[in-house]
Amino acid sequence: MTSMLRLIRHFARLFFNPDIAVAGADPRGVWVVIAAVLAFPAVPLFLELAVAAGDPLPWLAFYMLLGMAVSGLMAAAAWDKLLPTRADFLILGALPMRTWAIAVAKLTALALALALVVPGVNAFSVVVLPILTVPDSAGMGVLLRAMGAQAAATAAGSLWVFLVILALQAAMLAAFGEDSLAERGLRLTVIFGLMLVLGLAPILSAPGAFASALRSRNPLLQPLRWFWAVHAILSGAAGVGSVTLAWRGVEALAAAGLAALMLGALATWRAASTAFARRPTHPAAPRLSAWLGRCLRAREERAVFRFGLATLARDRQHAVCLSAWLGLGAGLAAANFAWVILWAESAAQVGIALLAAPLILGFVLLMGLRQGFAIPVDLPANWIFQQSDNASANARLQAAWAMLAFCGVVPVASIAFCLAGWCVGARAGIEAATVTVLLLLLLVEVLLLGFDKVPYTCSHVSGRANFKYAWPLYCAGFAVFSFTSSSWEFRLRTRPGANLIVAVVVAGLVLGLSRRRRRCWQALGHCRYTERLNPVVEPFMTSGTDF
Amino acid sequence: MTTALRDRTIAGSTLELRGVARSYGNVPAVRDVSFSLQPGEICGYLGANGCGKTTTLRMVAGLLPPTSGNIFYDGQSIHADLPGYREVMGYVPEEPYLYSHLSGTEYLELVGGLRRLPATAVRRRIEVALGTLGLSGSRDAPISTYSKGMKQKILLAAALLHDPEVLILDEPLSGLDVNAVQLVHHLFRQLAERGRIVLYSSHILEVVERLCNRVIVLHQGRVVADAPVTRLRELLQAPSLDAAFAQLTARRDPEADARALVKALAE
Repeated sequence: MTSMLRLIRHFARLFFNPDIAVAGADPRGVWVVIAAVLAFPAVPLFLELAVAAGDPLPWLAFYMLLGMAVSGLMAAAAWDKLLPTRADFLILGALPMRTWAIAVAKLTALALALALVVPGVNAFSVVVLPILTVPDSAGMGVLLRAMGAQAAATAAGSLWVFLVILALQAAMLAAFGEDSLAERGLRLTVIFGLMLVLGLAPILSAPGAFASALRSRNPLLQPLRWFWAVHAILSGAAGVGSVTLAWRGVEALAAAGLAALMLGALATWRAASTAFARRPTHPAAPRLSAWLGRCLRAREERAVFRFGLATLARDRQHAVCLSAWLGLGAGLAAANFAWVILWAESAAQVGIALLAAPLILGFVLLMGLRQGFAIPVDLPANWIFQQSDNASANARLQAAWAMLAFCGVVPVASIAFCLAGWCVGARAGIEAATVTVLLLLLLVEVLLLGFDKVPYTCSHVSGRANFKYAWPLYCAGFAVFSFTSSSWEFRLRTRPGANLIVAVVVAGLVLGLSRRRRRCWQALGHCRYTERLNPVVEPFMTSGTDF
Repeated sequence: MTTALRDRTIAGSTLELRGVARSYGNVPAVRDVSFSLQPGEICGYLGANGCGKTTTLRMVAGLLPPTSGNIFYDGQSIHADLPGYREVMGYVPEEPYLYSHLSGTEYLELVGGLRRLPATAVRRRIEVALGTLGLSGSRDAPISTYSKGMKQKILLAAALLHDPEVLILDEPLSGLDVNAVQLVHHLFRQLAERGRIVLYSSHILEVVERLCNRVIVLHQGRVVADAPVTRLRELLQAPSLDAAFAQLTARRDPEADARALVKALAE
């Protein structure tokens, strides 16, 4: 096998690596996950379509749009990784191969990945949808033509979206460089990707909206019309202006391809030419962590808290994980809103949905933060915690509570205040923020029951956190926490006395659990560290930290 | 650290290893190592690769418990009050394991916080240490962008941040430039003059010969020599520490080995 083929295989493999939560792993595996999630709604919708006979055109257009959305999400999820990066040139530059060979290999691998994933995601709709929509009396030729039209329109639309995003990424990489885009872009993509996926779910219930979209003059909807015209021509249903629209689609495809090629070459040249240049010094560390740290008493607590904030902000694993949780929370809140707006029968339902939004977000965010504590960062560097160990682990553990309170409770309570304050009034905002703080603090105490590890230093996940068996419990907890409590909150808003009693009960519970937690942590004594069996190979053995 | 331990330290405490051994499974790494170090001593700890140097230093640093034997600081087992001992001890590991997402300043602030040092003192010491070690320009850059030498400097600064009584150094000069090496030499000498104990492991024998007033040579996990450098050379009638080391560790003829390798590659 030639070195070029080896390189192409190497890059192609990276596109299908699903280990996004592993240190040093490539996040491109997220492509497949998002594509699978997006393709999933196809199954129930096909069943519905089979039962309810109606106009099939909106469905066909909807699935073409879905294919385009999948391509867009895949391109956005991979962010700066589609084109050759500085890391590629740093790693491979020392080998006897030319710069252009690295670039060509990566782009070939990208094309291969695209050629596998896009048809894979759209195969079901391309094959099954025409079978369901073409009348039985029509011959095999008509059926094959319908399949071909759907495949061509979906492929052209998907390719156009992908090339546009690739060109945009290349332009930004060429202008700003990798450093300023990579991490932020990845996080935002994960958050907005999940929001879009989950927010799309209720809209899927009303695909008839696409019928009017296909006739719209709205410039944002024109790409849909271009590629729908391709479908119309190939399936033999061309109307007035279809050819013009289809030509515009072909022109747009060519323009996007050319832009992606030229800007991609520019971005690649920049990556190659700066590969061995020293990375620019980052600006001074954010002072926010220093300011927040002042609220904490013990020096160790402050140190671990600031270490935790820096880990959340900068470590890729934690950033991706937290972004995914945040995206899930925001998506669930958005889906809840969308559902209520589409189907709500009373103002009370809208009010409950409004109050539930911060609780949904808070629940998911706190779960994400808590889960992140068990994902270690730079395991071998943990020796410094062992080396500076003292008689009590309490202050180090206390930082975990501070992390959940400052990163989970405070931002979500602020959102609750703004949301309720903006929609109803300042008083409602204060009430909503107070209830949110109390409920989230209660959740923090529940999440810290039995917690006894310094955050981000331990890979040992406790048996209680076995999600495989405990997920019904988490789902029930989520439903009760988000929806039942927001429903109570809505009903009690007109009865201040009852509201106060509930608040006092919750506050009492929080205080009780908090005292119990502190007593448990004080009783733990100092940290204990476990050894690995083969320290000659992996020198420091503080990774299996437990207490 | 307990007040009693601090008082004893100020008076000048000795670090003593008595019959220390460590095995990994059935494989012995260190066997029956005994020596003691007085305040003001810079002791070179030498040995070939895999002879047990790093394991010994990790045991002395309290990171690894010995399989048998004990380590005493001022007559008290370090494991009797490990947190107290750690407060008077600084350690520079062989590999620069650091949190790569933190900046140099943030890492040192973390260490200062974990050691419960006052924030103002930590900031002042970090300022001086980074300035002296030539890291002021990179203080806010993430450690992942540092060279090996820069990481080594951060480790040194972290080990010195709490002004330790005992310094355990495992290959501290690895990756450092000539100026930094000179600076570190002067630093160790001055710390020793202030009564600090410096246990120093290195493969660079010329440096050890110049810097250390005593050397301990380890071979296959056992101490095979423990004497001042000059005394060792006299005893072995060796012109240099390198020659003495070769005798003690039964080193093969490196020139002949190189010749054999070159010949094998050419065939």
